[in-house]
Amino acid sequence: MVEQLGELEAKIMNQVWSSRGPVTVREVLGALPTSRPLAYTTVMTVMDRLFRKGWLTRERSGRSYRYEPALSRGEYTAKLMNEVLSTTDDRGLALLHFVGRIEPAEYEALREAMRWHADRRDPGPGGLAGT
Amino acid sequence: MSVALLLGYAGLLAYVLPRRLAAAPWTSRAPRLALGVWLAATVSTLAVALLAGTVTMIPLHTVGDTMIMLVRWCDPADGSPTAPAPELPGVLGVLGAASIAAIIARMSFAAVVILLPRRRLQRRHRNQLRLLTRFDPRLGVFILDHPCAGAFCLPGVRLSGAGQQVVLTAGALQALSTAELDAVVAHERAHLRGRHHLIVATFAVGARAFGPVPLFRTAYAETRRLVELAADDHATRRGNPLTVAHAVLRLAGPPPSALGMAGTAAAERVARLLGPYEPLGRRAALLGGLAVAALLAVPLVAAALPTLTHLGLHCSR
Repeated sequence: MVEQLGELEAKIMNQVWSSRGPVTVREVLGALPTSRPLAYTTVMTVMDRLFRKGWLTRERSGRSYRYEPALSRGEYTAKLMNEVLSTTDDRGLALLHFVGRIEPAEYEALREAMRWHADRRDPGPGGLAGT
Repeated sequence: MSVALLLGYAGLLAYVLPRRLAAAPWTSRAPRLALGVWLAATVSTLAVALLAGTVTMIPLHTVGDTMIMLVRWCDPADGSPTAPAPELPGVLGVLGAASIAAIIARMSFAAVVILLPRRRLQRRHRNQLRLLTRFDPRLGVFILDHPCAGAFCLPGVRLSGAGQQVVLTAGALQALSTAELDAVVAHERAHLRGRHHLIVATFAVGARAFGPVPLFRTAYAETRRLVELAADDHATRRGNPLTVAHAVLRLAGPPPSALGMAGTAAAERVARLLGPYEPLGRRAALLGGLAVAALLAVPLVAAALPTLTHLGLHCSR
């Protein structure tokens, strides 16, 4: 059940992000690509929850609301990336990243070493892919 | 007397071992074994320190008796642990009690300060990733639409690993070849399978609780480096070290991938992958395993020794 709700949240956010301007619950309901018919109240509840979590902002429009994303998808993504990569390791909070930074001088030296190794090996099927 | 011995042992592990172990070249050749040694050394030091504190108040004999009784190997002559001679604790006893309390308090505090925010942060990231990523069925990973090349993993909610995720950025998809992407994914999966987040968090708690002591501080720093090497080894087994090295280099290079933080020993990893493959010999690995077992056994043996010698004289089966 929780997973389904999560999927619905993602679908609704996608819909709101791709809309131009504020949308109502009914507009979102109409535009959602779903395999099973959804109830108005379900979509309304989820959008309300997204508002409370801070993903959406809203304005009264008659007896209902018009919703807008608080930040664009790109802005959220940038924020997340920044947080992920800059989370300090001091408290063991880091997600394990693939790699950190290498200083430019060292980087050049390693690139040279890499090239040397690649040239030494047989350029066969096991060789370097797509240099 | 026993207190002095126990403290001496703990002191050796806490102050002498760390620098040597961190500088030992074999750790890069067998990162998982090295992780085991760090863990065993840490557990052993803590256990012996706690034992030393206990012994200032209760004779070692009694501790051993209690342990043996729990195991019920042989009933002691009078059927109950040797009662300690009734006497006031004295200065040493008070110090011992205070030390035990301090150790437990620091560990508990550090655990709360480190583990709770960590769980909150992971939950928040998990929710954000759910809304911001799309699933790539071929790689079996989630793609985050960001131009900078990056890859990371998020551990699951439970120990079983449910809900764990490997995330790659769109920038990484562009920058890396298919083989390199496979290597990166294998590396991240190795982190998840090896429960590396849990290991790192455990040592983080230790470092926070007993930071000034070299063992805990160094163990934490080494752990972060060793889990990366272990994951590299796993990625290499399924592919080609040069490919993995290439992927590391591409992701670690100058901007735009330089959103980054320092400290995952990227340069060392590349150099190690480019070098000859030198796994630890079987004999050395066996020695390492024995060392781990010995470290873990010391506190138990130390506690049980007086009782065992005593029983050895009494038990006639």
